[in-house]
Amino acid sequence: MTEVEINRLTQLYQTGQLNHDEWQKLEHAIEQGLVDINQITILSKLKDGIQYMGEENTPAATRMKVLEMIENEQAFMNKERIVISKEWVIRTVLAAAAMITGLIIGVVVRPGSAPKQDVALLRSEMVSLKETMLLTLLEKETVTDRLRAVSYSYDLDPGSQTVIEALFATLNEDNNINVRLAAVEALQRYGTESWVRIQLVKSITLQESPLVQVALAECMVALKEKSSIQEFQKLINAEETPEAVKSKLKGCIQQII
Amino acid sequence: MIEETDNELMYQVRSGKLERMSILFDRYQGMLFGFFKGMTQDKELSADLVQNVFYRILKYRNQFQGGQFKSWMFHIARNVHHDQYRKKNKPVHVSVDEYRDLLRDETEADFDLHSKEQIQQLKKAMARLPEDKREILLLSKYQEKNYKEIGEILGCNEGAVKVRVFRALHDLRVLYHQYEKNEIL
Repeated sequence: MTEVEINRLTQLYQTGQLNHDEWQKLEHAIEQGLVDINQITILSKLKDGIQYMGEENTPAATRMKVLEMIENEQAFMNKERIVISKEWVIRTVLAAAAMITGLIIGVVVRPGSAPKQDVALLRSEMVSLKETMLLTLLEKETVTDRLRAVSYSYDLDPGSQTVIEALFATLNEDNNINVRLAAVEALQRYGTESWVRIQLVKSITLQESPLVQVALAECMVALKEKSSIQEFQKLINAEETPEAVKSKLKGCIQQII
Repeated sequence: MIEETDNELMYQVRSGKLERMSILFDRYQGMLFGFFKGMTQDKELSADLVQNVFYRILKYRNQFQGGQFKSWMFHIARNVHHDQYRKKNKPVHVSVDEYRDLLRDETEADFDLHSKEQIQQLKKAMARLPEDKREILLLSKYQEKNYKEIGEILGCNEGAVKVRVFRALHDLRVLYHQYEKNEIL
């Protein structure tokens, strides 16, 4: 396109005299970078006007809330570090005690089946206790409690069907996106189970949040779950799905196939 | 003293120095507030959405893998706004009177009366634009017209962004002139 033609099109645009074909030509030239929008004086002025639109700061309370949020997260991180180091000490002591006890039993007492049964019973009670805690916390109102519940599932490996079903209920019904995202991550670990993969695929179209949709897409890529493609296609075809999500889903499909 | 870049600060946040996020907040809260206010015309909601963006940045700090921090932040901001929009299931729309009240609180330094009126008409026209067009114009403003980065945020190429900006500006031009001729009150 010549400079003369470009000038003619921009002039016609400014005077509102572009016909349909000329409009298309102008758009094409803009797309190709042959016409800079700033060359069109009237639009350039509007752009400048937008730049001049006043800005203001968020209310002081917002800053306070964000700073509080940062402090809470920092405190949570520090607490986790302490808990981890405490856990490490307890585990080490317990492991040493178990080793010594085992040695004593091995040397002094004849090995029998009763202590093994006791340990097994204790372990199963521990698991059951953790399961109960997890299920109770998932019902709590605060997001922090529900996030903690999801993180407990990592201590229950392999997770029982009850735990996995509770995580699915969270993924599909919890009103907080962060809790749902945590549930996706937790459920991905059980992806070797075919019924879990089927439920994850079913969950795709139930999700409305782009973030959760993308998290599920990434989960499907990690699991190489081909049956998810059909569900992704539904989202891609849906008008309300944001363009960025559609593009991500297309990329994921390419990685799965 | 040399100011730390956004990415340097974000990497520090990632490594556990969470307090560094307050600098990023101070740097971008006004910009995000302007973006959300332009999208929702609701100051209180916009303040909440700004807070939500920083919550997600904090929560997903380990997901930041480089690139432009500002683009990553606006990507999150779009998602936050989109989630809010879905929750309400309808676009937030205010009457012109309400919008006038909103305008009253704002400051436009260095403008004479004539220009100030024009800017106010422009704001009203912006508020009547469809959401996607309003969004691309606001992104264009806050991303300092970097069409490549806007394309990354929106998931399209630079050329497509330019055309979308052109169409949005054209619609804005039409609405602005309607206000000028008092065709819309």
